[in-house]
Amino acid sequence: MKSFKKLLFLQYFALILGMLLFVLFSNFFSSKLSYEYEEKYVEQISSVLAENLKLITEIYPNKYLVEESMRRAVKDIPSLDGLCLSLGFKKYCYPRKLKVKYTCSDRKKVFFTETEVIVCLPIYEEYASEFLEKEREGHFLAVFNRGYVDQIRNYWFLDSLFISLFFVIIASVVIISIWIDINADFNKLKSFIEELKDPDRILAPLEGKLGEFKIEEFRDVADLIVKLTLKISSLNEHIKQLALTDSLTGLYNRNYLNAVFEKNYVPFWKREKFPLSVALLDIDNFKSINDIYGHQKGDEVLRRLGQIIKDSVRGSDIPVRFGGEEILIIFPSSRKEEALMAVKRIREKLMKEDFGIGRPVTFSSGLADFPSDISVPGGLDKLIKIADERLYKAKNQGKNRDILE
Amino acid sequence: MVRVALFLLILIFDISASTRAADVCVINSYPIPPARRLEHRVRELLKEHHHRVVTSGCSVKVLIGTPAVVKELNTNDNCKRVYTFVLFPEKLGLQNRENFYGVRIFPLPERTYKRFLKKFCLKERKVAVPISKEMLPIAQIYLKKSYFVLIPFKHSPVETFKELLKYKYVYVFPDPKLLRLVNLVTLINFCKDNKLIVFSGLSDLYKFNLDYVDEIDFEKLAEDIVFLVENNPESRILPCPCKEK
Repeated sequence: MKSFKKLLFLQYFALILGMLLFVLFSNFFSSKLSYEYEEKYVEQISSVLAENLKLITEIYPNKYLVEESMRRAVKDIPSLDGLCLSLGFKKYCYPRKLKVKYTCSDRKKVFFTETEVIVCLPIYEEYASEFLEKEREGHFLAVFNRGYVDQIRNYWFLDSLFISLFFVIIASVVIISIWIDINADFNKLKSFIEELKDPDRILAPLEGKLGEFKIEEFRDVADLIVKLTLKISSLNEHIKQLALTDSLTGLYNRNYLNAVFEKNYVPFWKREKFPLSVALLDIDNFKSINDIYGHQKGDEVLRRLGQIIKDSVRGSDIPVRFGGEEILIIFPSSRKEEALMAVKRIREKLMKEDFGIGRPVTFSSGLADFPSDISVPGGLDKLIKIADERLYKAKNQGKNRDILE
Repeated sequence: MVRVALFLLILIFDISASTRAADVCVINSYPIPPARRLEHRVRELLKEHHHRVVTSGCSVKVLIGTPAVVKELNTNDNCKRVYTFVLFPEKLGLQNRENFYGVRIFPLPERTYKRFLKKFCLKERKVAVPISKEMLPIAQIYLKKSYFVLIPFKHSPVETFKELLKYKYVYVFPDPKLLRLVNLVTLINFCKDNKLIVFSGLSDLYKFNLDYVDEIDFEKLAEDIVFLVENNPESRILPCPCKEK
C-alpha cells in the first residue's frame, strides 16, 4: 500500500514531467511549423514584389525604372539579396550578376541553399475578364539571405520556447509550493500522532499547536485526533476513579490501598522514614441505625461522614473506606497525637449533624503510629492491626472515644 | 380496355425515355467560379433528364472551357461533344466539326449592340472597336463592317485614342491584349474623360463601370447544354443566352 504523501509526490512529479514533455513536443512541432512559415513568409513577400514590378512594367515598361524599383526593394527589405523579373523576352535583374547565377523552372518553388533562400514564382497574364484563359508570361525570382530569414525563425522559436518554459516553471513552483505545504502539514500531523502515542503526554498544549497547520483539512484531522485522545483520556480517568474510590462516601477504597498506596507510597515511607499515623474509625451502633431507619439512613450517615472527613483532613492525608462502617485515615508525616486532633474535629462536626434519628451519630477510633507503635517503617498492616485492636478497646470502654495506647 | 391502353402507353413512354438516356461525361477545364457553378447545374439538369453522369465510357461529353475542347480535338473519339466557355469557336473551326455542338459564352457583338441601343433608345451609329493586330483576323469574323469599325493597335490601345475620338460608341472585344488590366483601365478612363459610351458582351466587365454589359443567363445556358446533349440542331453553335434588361 502506498502512502498518500508518496502517491502525491509521484503524481506531482508525473505532472511536471508531462508538462516538460509537452513543452518539448510542442516546440518540436512548432519548429517544424516555423519552417513552413518561413517558406510562406518569403513567398508572400515575393508575390507582393512580383505584382508591383509587373504592374510597373505594364504601365511604363522602362528598364531603368524597373531596376530602380528593384534596388529600392532590396534596400528596404533587409533579408532580400536580389531580384529578377522576366516577362517574355525582357529580363530585369538587380544586381545584374543575378541573371547569370540563377534560373527558374516553370513551377513555383522555394529553394533553401546554405546561404540563400531562393523563391521562384511563375507570372501569369492579368486579364480584366476571367473568361479569358490565363497564360504564363514569365517568372519572378527573389533571393533572400538565409541567415537573416533563419534568424527570424529562431527568434520565433526561442520566444515560444521561453514563454512555454516560463509557464511550466510558474506551474512547477505552484505545484512544489503546494507539495511543500502538504508535506509540512503531513510531518506536523505525524509528530502530533507520535506525541499522542506517549501515555504521559499532557494533551492541552497540543491544542495550541493546531494553529500551526496551513491546510484547513489537516488542522481538522489533528483537531479531531486531539479531541478523541482527550475524550479517551478523560474516560480512562473516570474508569480509574471508579475503580479506586468508593461511590457512596467518595473516599478511596481498599483497591487504592493495595494497588496505589502499597505500591507507590510505602517504598517512599521506608526510604525517608518519616512519621506516619493511622486512625481506624467505626460508627457506633450503625447496625441499629440500619435496622431501625433503614439502609438509606445508614447510607446517608456514611455519605455525610465521608464528606466531613474529606473536608477535615489535609490534602496529603488518605481517607479509605476500610469495611462496612469502618474508615481508615492515613496521616503521613504526623504523629498519632496530631492525628487525634483531626479525628476529634471530625467527631465534633459529625455530632453536630442532625440525621433525624433523635440522637447524634458518634464513632469510636483506634490510633497507632510509627515510630511509637512500630519500630520499622513500612509495616502498614501492623499499624492497622494495632489501630484495630485499640478501636476494639474503645468500643468495649463505652464507644464514642479514641484510644491511642 | 382502357386500362390495357394506359399500361401500353406508360410502357412505350418509359421505353422511349430510357432509349433517349445517355451516359454523359462532364469535363471542366476552367477553374473559375461561374464555370464551376455551371458544371454543377448541368450535372443536376442531366440527372433530372434521366441521363447518367459518368466518368468513363460516355456517349456524350460536356466540355467546359477551351483547354478541354482543344484536348478533345486531338482525340479520335466518335462520341458527341457539347461545349461552352469557348470564346472563339470559329477560331478552332468548331462550326464545321462533326459531333461538336456548343453554346457561345459571350453574345455576338451585333446582338449586344442591338440590345444596347434598345436599352438606351439610342440611334444607330458606327461603333469603334480597338483591336490588337494579333486578333484582327478573328475580330473580322465576328464584327460586321456595317456596324463596327476596327481600329488596330500594336502594343497598347493608347495608339487608337486619336481615332476613337471620331466615334461616339466603343465596343470592347474579348481581345487578350486589350483586356490586360492596365490596357482596359486606360481605355475606359480615356472614354469616360471624352464622353464616349463603352459597352461589351463580356458579363464580368460590369465591375469596371462600363456603360453597358450583357448579363449571361447561366440557368438558360445549362438548359441549352442539356438540349444539345439530347438533340442535334442544324445550327451547331447556339447563341449566348442573355438576361433581358
